[in-house]
Amino acid sequence: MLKIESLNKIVATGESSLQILKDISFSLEKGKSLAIVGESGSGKTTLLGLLAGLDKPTSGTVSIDGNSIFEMSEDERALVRKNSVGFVFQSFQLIDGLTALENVMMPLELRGDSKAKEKALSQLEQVGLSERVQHFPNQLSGGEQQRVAIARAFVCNPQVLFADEPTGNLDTNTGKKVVELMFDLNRKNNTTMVLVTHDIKLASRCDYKISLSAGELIESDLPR
Amino acid sequence: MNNFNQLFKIAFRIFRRDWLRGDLSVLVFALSIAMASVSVIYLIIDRVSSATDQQASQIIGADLVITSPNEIDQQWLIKAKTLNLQSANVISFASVLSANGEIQLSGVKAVSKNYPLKGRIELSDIPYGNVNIANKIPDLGSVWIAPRIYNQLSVKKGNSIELGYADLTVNGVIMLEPGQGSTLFNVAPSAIINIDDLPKTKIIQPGSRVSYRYLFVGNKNDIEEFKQFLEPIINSSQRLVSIFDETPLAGSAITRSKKYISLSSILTLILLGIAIAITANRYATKQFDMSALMRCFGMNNRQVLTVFIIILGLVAVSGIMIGAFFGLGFQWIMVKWLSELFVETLPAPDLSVLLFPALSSLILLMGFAMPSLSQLKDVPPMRVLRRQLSPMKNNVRLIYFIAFVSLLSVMYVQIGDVKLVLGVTAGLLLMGLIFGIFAKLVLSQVRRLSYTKNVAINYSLRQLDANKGVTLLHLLSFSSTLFVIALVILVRTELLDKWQQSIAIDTPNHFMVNISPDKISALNSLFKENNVVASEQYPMVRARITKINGEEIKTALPESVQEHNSLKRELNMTWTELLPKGNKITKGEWLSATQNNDKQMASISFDSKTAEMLGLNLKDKITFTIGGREWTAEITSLRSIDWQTFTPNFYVIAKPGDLDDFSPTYMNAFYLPKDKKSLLAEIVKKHPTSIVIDLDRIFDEVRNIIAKVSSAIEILMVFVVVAGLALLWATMEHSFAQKLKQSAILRTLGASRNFLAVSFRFEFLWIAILSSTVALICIELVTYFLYQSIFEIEFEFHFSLWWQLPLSLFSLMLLSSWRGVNRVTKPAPLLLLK
Repeated sequence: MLKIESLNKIVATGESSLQILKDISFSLEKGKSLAIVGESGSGKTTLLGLLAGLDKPTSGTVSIDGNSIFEMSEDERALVRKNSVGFVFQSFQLIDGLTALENVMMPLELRGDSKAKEKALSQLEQVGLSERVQHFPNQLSGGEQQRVAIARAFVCNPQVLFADEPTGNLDTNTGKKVVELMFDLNRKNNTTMVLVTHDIKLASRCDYKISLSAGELIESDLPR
Repeated sequence: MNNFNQLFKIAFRIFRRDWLRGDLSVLVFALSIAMASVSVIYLIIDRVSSATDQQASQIIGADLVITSPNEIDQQWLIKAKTLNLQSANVISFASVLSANGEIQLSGVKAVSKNYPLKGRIELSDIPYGNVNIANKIPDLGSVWIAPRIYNQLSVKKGNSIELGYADLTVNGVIMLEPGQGSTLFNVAPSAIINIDDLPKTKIIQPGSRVSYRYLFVGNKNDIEEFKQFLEPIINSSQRLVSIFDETPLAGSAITRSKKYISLSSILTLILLGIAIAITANRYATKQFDMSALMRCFGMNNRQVLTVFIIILGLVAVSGIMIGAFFGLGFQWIMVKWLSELFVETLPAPDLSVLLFPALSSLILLMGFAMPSLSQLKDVPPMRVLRRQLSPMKNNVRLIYFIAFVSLLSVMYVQIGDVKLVLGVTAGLLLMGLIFGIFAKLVLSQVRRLSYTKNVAINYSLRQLDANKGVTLLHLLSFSSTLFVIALVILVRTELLDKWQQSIAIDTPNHFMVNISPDKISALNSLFKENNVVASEQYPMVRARITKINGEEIKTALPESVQEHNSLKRELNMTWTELLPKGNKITKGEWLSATQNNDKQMASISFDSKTAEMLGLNLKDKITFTIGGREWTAEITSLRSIDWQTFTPNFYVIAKPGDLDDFSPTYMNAFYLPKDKKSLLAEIVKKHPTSIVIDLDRIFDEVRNIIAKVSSAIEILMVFVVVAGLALLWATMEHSFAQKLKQSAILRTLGASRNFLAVSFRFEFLWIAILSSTVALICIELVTYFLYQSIFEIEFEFHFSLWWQLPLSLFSLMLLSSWRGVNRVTKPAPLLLLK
């Protein structure tokens, strides 16, 4: 499902340059979950962004379902995200000024789904927010916002879900509930899931785990 | 921390960082445009007013003229002398000239040395011959005469004429003299003599009807001081003569252009104020984190505020310096290339002219930027932990009040015209009201419309409602920009059109008065033979008002109006079936429609302004003396008269038939092109009792004034448009800064660049439509008011503007959104989300 080969990311910092990712390669089968762990600044979020085609690497390839995403234009990558990818962020990234319902409808509408409203309502019901559909992000608690984000991520039945520290901004209890919800939906939809986390417990619930240090892959339990 | 130096260092560091990052550039840019515009406007106002004042002086013969029925107080002349004013005087009276056994009543002017102080007298040896400019007053013992005297008395240059007890030698024929515009209908032709010859004539005796005219020139400030000295002490029979008395068209062109300039500068200030407010608000919002950090590091509210006031000060210094650079640059361009436009010699660029603009820019910056920046002191330190915490909103009314007061104070200082400033203030409040109602109505409905099949349309509509504050800000700035630009262009175009019409090339350039009835057919055939286009012949009698409702003027009218000009001279009265062009009935019914109850009573239509001055109204019965006989008529209508046309206008018009007992003379107006000027001599020769008034030179003067003020208006219009575009740019920048994060989220969700671009453009389309509608409603209302009460232009609904304006705005937005759309869609979404 996901295949990463020799991924490098170097950024210029004034006169010198900084290597953020060094020669990362691995692959992940459909329906499996992977946790990326490592210290702050080890390159976890950059790797996640590259896997989702949100940024371009200096060299290397990423294939989603056999499609090499960096051989595509930005709009073609957006098309892949629209059809196959879901996202959950640490800081939720809901669109201010749109209601919970409108936020969840957005990816469906982008696909031209004529039943966007019904599907979004049902997804919000699944995450337990049917009472809050007309609320705006700033009227929701952190946990509720993350549940809206999860509903938005799963509403299109993505093949791959990327999550960046999904519980990082939540208290332990709420975090637990959000994780349950995510894994539950993952199971139901048979989604491939990649998540970045500091949380060892969360990482241990995934099928596989890789560790990054200073941009290098130092540990992996993925099958070769 | 208390140390100001330390705070200054912190402020300077933040200023430098934000300058380099570009966060402050839009604010500095807006301020520098403000500075440049205000200095240019200030410069133009100054130049136009001195250029037109100078032109006006040419027409009235001096910078300041006092007329008086008796000699003025010697103290006034002493005051003029202490102010270093140069003076001359003229004593005018009516008297009979005789020669060769013929006599002619004449308006004699005895002039002193240096007359005229401004403008010129043109002389010719024979009527309508080659002209020379007189470089001194008539020599002792000589006289200059109008063409009609020349013909009537059959004299030639060098012949002798009797005036009272004096014999004077004809030394020239007057072809042009200052103040000719006002003497259009003075039947008595002019004769000019040296004032020292006056005693010889022995005409002026105690009780003689004499008019004194005192002329003064000097530098602007001294003249102004003298005027202020005179105004409170001048009595009701004395008058300070203005250009309006001489040439109403030129006078009103000057006044209107000044009003236009004032209006444009007020509108520019409003635009710039809004631009500053928007950019300052954007900057302040970006500084919330910085402010919270400063509070965490132990600074108190006051210190945080001090830091941002210092930053504002640095912005002021840089903006004013950049603006001053452009202002001086423009002044240099004016000196270099535009000095021909303004007759006077322009002084070299002068730093002192920048003082007032710098002060205005500073007030504008403080008034419009301070409300936003002052919020920064209230950012709670907790924001470092919870980013969503924002400062408590300041009292919104107070913010608007501060901005409004600062704008008004700058407007007042710059314009000094209370009526206009108050008018604009009322207009602004009205606009605010319309804007508020409209925005509220529309924004409450847009979300309902956002469930169509087109997701880009849905998203764009939701965005309008989602960011109500931003949408309102955009609507306000776009509608005010449109309003200002369209208003400035409209008023300019309609003003220039009106002037062009009034001085169109085939406007009659000669008036002929005092034509006896038996000469009309001969005159008409002369015109026909020579293909001269002439107006119809207006019958004319000269009548003096003597009684009102049967009572003598002395008792019928309050003392304050008894000196009114219309009571002191004979008025020209005509009769006609049709309401003359440029006249409008303001009260009552036009003569042809009226039927008096009293069938014996004649009907008249009266000039509404004069009627108002005299306190006359419909049904008042006015008694006139015409040729020694009394004639009474009832006012059945009041008319407004457009004095700015060069067509014959009459204060009083009688109903045809009512004046049959009196024998009229006739007048007409005709157009004679320059190559047919020789015909004038023939006309004068064949009709020696008639007077031909040549308006060509006055036309030239008026055209000259209009050309000058038009150019000034064009330059100013360009500036207003530039200021408007600056605001548009600031708003668009603001709009895209808001969209960076949203577009990153949308791209993460799979939105293509095309989708983003289309949805942004739909959003622009809605804003273009909404803001154009607000602007158009306001334009129609405001032009209606302005045209009626300030510019006296006929109002017409601007149909074509209703599609032109939204279309132009949308095209402009598309054009300027090019960079913004790229800026928002190009960077990797991950960078934005991080």
